[in-house]
Amino acid sequence: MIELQTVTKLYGKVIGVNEISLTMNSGIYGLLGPNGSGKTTLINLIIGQLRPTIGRVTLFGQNPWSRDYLLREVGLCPAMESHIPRVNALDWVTHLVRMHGFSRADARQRAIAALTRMRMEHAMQRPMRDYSLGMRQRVKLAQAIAHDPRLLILDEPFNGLDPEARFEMTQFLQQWSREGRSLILSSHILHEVEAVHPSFLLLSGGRLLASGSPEEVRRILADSPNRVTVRCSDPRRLASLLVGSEHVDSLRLIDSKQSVEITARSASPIFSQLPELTRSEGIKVQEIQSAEESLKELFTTLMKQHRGEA
Amino acid sequence: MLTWLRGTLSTCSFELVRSLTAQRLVLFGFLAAFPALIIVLIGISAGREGMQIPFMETLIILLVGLIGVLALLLTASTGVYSELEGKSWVYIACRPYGRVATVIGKYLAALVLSYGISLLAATLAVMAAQWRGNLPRPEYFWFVTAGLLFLACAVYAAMFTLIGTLFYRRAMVFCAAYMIVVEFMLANIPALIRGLTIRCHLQELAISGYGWIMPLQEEPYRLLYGEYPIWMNFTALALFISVTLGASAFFVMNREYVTGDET
Repeated sequence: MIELQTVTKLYGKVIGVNEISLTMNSGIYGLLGPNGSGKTTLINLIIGQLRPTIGRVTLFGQNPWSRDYLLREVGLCPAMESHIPRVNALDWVTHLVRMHGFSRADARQRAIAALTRMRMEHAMQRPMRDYSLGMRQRVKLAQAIAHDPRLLILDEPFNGLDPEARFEMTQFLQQWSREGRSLILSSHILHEVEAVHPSFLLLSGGRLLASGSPEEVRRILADSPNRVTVRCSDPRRLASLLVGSEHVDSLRLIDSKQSVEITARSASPIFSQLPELTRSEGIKVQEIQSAEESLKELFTTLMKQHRGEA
Repeated sequence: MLTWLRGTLSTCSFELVRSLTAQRLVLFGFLAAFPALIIVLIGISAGREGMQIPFMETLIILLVGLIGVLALLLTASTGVYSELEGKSWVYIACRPYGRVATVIGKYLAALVLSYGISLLAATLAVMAAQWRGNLPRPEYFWFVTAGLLFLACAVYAAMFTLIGTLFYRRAMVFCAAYMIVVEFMLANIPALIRGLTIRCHLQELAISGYGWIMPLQEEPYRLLYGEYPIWMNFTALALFISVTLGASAFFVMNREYVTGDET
């Protein structure tokens, strides 16, 4: 479906993406990386909005930069908030669907169907300037799916959404993946992407640091240096029990000595040890927080590995 | 082709609908009424004797032309930039042939709006001049003016579209500079180069259309007017439109419009 061969994109002297090579067959992909890691640039290269400075990009076997008609098969929901004054959602989505070559009547029908699917039927005749962030996000998604694309690309779709809207978005993405269609989901939050069980592409500093299935990424995460915070009934006792563990690098009492922060080379052995230790000593665990869900640690590790420092 | 055509028509109608806001209608109304207002004021202060035919006709043409250019500056020059500034460019650009459809669609919308405004301005101005009873053939004058205005709007809208595509961040400034340097200064140079300006050809069509009698044998007039046959004027204007729109489409297709949010 998508192939990148040693693709580099420069914005003047700034590197957008750096020597990325990858092949993406039809399926679900999670594009993960911190802000400024090159995710949007990569998406723009894939859909032919940017031309690679070096290397080659193909979409459905052709160069997307010079083959505009390929965009008929792509739906894009960009990250940025656009300013579209004095227009209601139905007119805006109809206009964008018409730009795919549909007749006015067909475009309007598709726009209504897509907005209804996004639960916007009650508000689609209202001016978009009155919409909440969640409603605008749904309209953005409606314009991306209304022409029935083979590939849907969502750039940070969870940004600014409240928990209910996040849940709805996750449900929609799960439904989309169940329909057997392709999806590229860009985000900087792992667990949001994880919900649709994609293959992962991990980007940082414009480089593709790792790729693989959720299990492979979990393995990398588990083997990454990690910080685990345990809030329990006797943090001092727990710290004394862990101090002898070969897996623990450092221990610190935090939160007015209500919690113990454990820094370990790998989080997995700590998670294995904790139940046994706390049960045997009668320590009641109230909360365990792990940095595992934050990609920062992972990206730091991967970047170090990439530089040969770890 | 059908995709592109539907995209173009959709953009044109979408832009026209979007333009019809109370705020814009007031602005367009003011622009359309401005020449008539000036003529009425002159008529009141100078009286019937001050409203001689050549002066009145020239005044109408100048004022209506000015209104047409202002309307085009507002509508035709900012096509690409308004989408980039509003961060809606990405939605257009990810449609097949969306960039070209947007540029041409916005050109058509600008043409409709600017022609509508300037035609209304011409109508009101002719009516205001007639109020003092100083135009001998008002219907004919209006008819020629309407034709010339259409040509002028079509050609200048295409030129402003090209400028707006190339220098989208300062499009209005560049369009104004173009009007001053090329269409005012260059068009007044009595040499072959003035044939490369739009005004040269519109001016010659105006002379023929209005039936003005120019002493073309005399030195400054010989070099400034009556150089090209009418068919050549029409051909030159048609070439201006096709070349500038073609160039706009080429540039918009082959240029990376990077928004501030690339990461």
